Amino acid sequence: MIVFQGTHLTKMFGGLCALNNVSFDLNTGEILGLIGPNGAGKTTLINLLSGFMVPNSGKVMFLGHDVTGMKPHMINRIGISRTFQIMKTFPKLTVLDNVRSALVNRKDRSAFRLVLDCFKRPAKSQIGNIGEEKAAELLGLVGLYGFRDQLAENLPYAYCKRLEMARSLATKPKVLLLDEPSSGLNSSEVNEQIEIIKKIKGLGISILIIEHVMKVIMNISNRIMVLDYGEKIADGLPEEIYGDQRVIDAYLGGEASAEH
Amino acid sequence: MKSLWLKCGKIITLFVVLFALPSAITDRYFQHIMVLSCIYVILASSWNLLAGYSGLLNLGHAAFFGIGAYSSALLVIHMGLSPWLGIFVGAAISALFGVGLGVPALRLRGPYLAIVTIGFSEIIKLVSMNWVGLTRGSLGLSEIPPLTPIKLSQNLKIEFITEQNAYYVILIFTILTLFVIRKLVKSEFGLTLESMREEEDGAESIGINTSQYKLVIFMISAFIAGFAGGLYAHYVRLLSPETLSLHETFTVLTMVAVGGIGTFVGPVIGAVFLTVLSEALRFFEEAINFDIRMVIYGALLMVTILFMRKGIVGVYNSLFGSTAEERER
Repeated sequence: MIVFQGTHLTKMFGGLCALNNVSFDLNTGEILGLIGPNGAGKTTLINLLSGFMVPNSGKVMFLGHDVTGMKPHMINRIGISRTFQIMKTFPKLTVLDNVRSALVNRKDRSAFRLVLDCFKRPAKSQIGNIGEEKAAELLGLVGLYGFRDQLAENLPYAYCKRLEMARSLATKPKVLLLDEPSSGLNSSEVNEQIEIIKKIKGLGISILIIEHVMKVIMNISNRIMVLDYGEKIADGLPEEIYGDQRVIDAYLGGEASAEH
Repeated sequence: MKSLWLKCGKIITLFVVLFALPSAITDRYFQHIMVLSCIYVILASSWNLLAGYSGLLNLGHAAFFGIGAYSSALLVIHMGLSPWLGIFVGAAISALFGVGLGVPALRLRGPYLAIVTIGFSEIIKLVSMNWVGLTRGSLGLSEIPPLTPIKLSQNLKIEFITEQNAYYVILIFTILTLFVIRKLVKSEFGLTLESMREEEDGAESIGINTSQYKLVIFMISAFIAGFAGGLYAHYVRLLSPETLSLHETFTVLTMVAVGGIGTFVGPVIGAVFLTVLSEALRFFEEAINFDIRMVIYGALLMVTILFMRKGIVGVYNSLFGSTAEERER
């Protein structure tokens, strides 16, 4: 079943066409890899899908509903969560509070409601009482439980990436968009990252992942889609992509891309 | 459980000391400084909600204070409203302006927001100086009625003209305000604000409607600042456009920075410290005939920013606090 779908997505930055008529489907429980050379439009695609940018044309469909142009927080609330290539953790908060903040139920409570709830007698809304178990579970999943009382700014780079994943998962997504979760990591950290992503898949979450590290993408993806200069040039099983002439040309500069 | 009792004990001792203070310090001038400290504690804490917890650098906070003060005073003088009610209506009017100023805050970040808020504050100040028919311009308002006495029985009533009684009532309001702020910042709401301050896109990505939270916190902060303004108006009983000046905002900013921005106790410590300091400097200023207060504030601010980013609270924590868990948020 298709859970998440983009159809004919186009995004222009002035005269520059960052994405041109890109369509894709994400099936339930699947990992779809998204690769392409630098500047191919991968992050732009994720920005369109998560509401941080609005496409010039085309549609984003989630479980049969049109979610194009929704604000990022609304996109998150309906079940699509993302991580960032340049990490956006909360540096001056503890690791635990980073996750707790995402665990706060804001789906059916407005800001006013949260203010009123501060004064309720059984102080469920006090920071210390927010989803302790759930936070512990998520931090356990990414292997950061031992660091829960550290400030996020003191974490090593690789752990920040994992913290961001735990934080995204805390919002109970059905679809997770990962923007380069393994960039800048050493090879043992990459292996750990692969294990974590497999665990997340095991939770029944569908994943769209941007990645440059081929070891990761070939290892975990069910399907791979390739972008080059804002256009989709291939889509298929990892083995097919591996041998695709256009993909090889895009990466290594063959005759086809020499025209650009 | 033991630590809870210890905590309760500490708080009760603190309250007893605070309420016994006027009996120990009977000099009316010193009592006056105590009242002013309380008012500045409220004002500084409200600014800290915006700048410290939410990362919204509002440099027009004196305007909220002034709007609360003027609204309450004018309503009481012209409409015959009870000052008790006037304070709250004034605070509500200030909150309305807070929402108004919150709207540009939705689109502007960092220094751009700061500039807009300075503009806002200057506009309000100019209005108060030039709308002579309403505010009497730079003459200011005088003989603002004090809080009306509470009648306990036929011949026993509590007046609020003396510094001592004003201190008690304002102290109670201060404690209540701090209680409310404490509840706010220690809750899911406070955590949401801090998330927003730390990383706005990150906050959006976990489902935080940052626009809504910005408006709400602007409203709450302006309400509390306006409330402090109302208390000030009916205590000092004199108001002039000076109350709304940028000068005031920077006094508050210095208080919060020196005490410890983004912490709960920081503004309290900073407000008391700087109120006392500025009164102490007053004598010094008269002696040397030079307005040296702002120079010293500036120096304090620079020292704080360069050497102690989390102010006095930060220094205390790095000396005595051990783990992040124990650290004051």
